Amino acid sequence: MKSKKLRAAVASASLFLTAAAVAHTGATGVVKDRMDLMDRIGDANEELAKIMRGRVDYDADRVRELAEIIASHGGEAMTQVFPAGSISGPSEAVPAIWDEWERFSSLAAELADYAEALVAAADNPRVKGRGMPSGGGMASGGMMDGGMSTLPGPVELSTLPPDAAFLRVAQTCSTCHQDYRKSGR
Amino acid sequence: MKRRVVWVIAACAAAVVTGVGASRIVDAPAPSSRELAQLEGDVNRGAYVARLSGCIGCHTDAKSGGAVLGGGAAIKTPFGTFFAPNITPHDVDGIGQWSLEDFATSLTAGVSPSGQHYFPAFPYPFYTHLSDQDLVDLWAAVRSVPPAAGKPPPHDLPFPYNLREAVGIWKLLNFRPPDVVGEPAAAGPTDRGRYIVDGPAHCGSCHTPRDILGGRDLGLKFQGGESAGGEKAPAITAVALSAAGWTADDLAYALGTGIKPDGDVFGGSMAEVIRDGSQFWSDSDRGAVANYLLEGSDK
Repeated sequence: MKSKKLRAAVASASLFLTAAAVAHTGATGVVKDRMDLMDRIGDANEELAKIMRGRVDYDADRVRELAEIIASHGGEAMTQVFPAGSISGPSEAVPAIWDEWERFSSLAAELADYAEALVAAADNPRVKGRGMPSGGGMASGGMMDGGMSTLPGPVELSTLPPDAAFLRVAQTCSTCHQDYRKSGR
Repeated sequence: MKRRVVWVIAACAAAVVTGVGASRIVDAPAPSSRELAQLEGDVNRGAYVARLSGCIGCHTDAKSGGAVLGGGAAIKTPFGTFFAPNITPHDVDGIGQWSLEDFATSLTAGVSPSGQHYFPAFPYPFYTHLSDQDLVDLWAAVRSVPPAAGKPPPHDLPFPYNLREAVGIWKLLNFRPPDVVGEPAAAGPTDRGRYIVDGPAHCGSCHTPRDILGGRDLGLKFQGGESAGGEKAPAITAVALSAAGWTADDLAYALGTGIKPDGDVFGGSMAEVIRDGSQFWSDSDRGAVANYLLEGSDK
């Protein structure tokens, strides 16, 4: 009984891990194009995360290169691979994208803006931790600010540690995926 | 389908039972006795407890620019659509008339000031584990938010799920207030993580599968379930996480940033959990949660 549960857990966990890779096979046309685009952003993100976590030495030139990759895949490069109603085969896109096209496009534009802020911030001094100006402490969890609204924009981020801009890039990805990527319904 | 049938039977039984006046059977379990009056609430600590507990995510309609804690967006579940209410201190639309005791009873017993059962979409089976100090601090923080007028629509639940009496039966089956609350006095390395995960952060609400009546199947704790909105929530047992390649450090980092080890980010409900909650946690709390999940949660 126990080993059955264990096998089930391992099986579902490995499914969880490989789902994305599997989902991208068999895509064609614009669906394939945007999956490739997402993969390139994901690869850059993966390497940036390793750098920001100190798994590899910090290299400002490499950070700029990777951030440029993300920036060049945001904005219009992103929106043009989402023609109306393009949901076919293994696509993980949801129709809300086109119902809320304005919000979707502005998130795509923000991705490019924050990635550009990371390009500009790459030489700034690092801080320990996640690099947000007031992140993580007891008092900073205050409820009055209502979340992201008071967080720094791209201009301010370009003057802060690169970790802060990187975090905003990742949060933009996450916000968009929360509403516009299928999540195993 | 099967879930629906059984629920109908339970609901009809509840309706019959209450109909004949034997309402004691569906009374809520007594709230654990809390001596809160002597404690001083700390607004900043309470705001942090709110981030641990996910209050803001459900009770704020962030996407539509709603006021903080002014009431949430629709949560569509198999039982109908829920709207988390306005819990700002507004006298009419919020909870401005509540006492600390009302607040504590709602969180720890799932009972409203007028004595009604709350539907378990409100995760009081987890909040019942909150320590006395955390409850008092949370109350101070909720009182500190500007009162916001307006409230979301009432829950939209088809019969029989709209029967609050049936929730009493649900509670008898599924709700166990703990004998001891809060962190153990001699907190070991995984105790803080256990407290956060099984109490305020209510991870099992989505990551533990539920039975046909919507009760958590605790024999399958963290083996994967569904979010309230019906998305699949993956298994987060130590075995499952390790098999998927997660380390405690990866997990702590992901809870702070939303970034997974492969460069992908969390979408779905977990994006909200991180954005409104765990990104504000201390490094040590994120580490405690990660360590507990990878080392202690199924022992």
